[in-house]
Amino acid sequence: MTSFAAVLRSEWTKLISLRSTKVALALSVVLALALTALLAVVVGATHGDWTPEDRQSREPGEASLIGGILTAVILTVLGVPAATGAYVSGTIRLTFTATPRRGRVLAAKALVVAAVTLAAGLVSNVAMFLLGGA
Amino acid sequence: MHGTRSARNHLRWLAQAGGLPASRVEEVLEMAGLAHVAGRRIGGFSLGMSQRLGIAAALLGDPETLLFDEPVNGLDPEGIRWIRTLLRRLAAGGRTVVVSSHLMHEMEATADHVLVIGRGRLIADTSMEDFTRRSAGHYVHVVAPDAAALRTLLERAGGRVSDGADGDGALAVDGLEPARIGDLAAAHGLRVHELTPRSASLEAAFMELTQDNVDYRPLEAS
Repeated sequence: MTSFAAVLRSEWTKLISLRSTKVALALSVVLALALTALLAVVVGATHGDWTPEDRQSREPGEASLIGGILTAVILTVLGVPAATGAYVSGTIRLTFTATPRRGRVLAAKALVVAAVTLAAGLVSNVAMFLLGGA
Repeated sequence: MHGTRSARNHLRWLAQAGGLPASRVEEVLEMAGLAHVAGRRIGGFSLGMSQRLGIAAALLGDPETLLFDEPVNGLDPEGIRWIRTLLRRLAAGGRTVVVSSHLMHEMEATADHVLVIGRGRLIADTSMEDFTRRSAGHYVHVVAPDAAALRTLLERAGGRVSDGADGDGALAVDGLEPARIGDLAAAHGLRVHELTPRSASLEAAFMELTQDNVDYRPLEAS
């Protein structure tokens, strides 16, 4: 009855109105940048002592993106409550009452989480690259 | 309902899923008396506030038929009055409002029609007025200066007369309609000071009807 766009909008509201989403998004960027900053300082301080082989095999810029591991982990953590939280709180019953077509709901949830994590990953990686290069 | 989501966001996602305009959210928040706490997390809501939020959600789509399961639970006296007027207003607007409740006094004050279900079977389907009148608790309260003469007269006419519960000489008449009692008294020149049909409470009528249909009956205290 309701269009897929309506379900998508609804899932979007549900995802971004959760505290866990906001916390995870903030952490995914902040922690990644913190790790990158730390590595950048270490690499910058020791680069003069590296052996020629080290310099050959390690590109200093690489270290910038190590924080990306944290981004990935935290964004995974974001995706989990996005789906399971609804089951814990019972919201899922309301969701399926409002939209009985489960496939649509799951597809909308997946799309919304993918869009949010992609955006966060992009922000975090670009920021790390700029920070590491500085 | 998810605890960290605000009441407004909870209603918003529901409205969006149903393809309803966002303006409905503010309308039902207003109707449910939650407008001033719309931005607060649902997790901090009292039972009464959650109840109001649930009702707000039910009203979102402005449905023709509304089903309420024990809507008064957890509400404060002000909330109970609110829901009573809300239910009446919804019904007056032409909607069908179905309420399930075990609170007899509440239903007596609210409902027009009663359905009684016992052990999975429908044992009554009638108007509230009819339901309480047909029970044995229905009688006519009669106050007359010459009660003894009136009593004889009414008993001869087929009424079952007993002393009123208050012990003030009033009569409780069963089996005769108030009009018939008044006519009889007038025909015999007997004065009547008070003539009031009294109905059993819904609770009494319910108990009478369902006494053979209960699953769990406590032993009578000896």
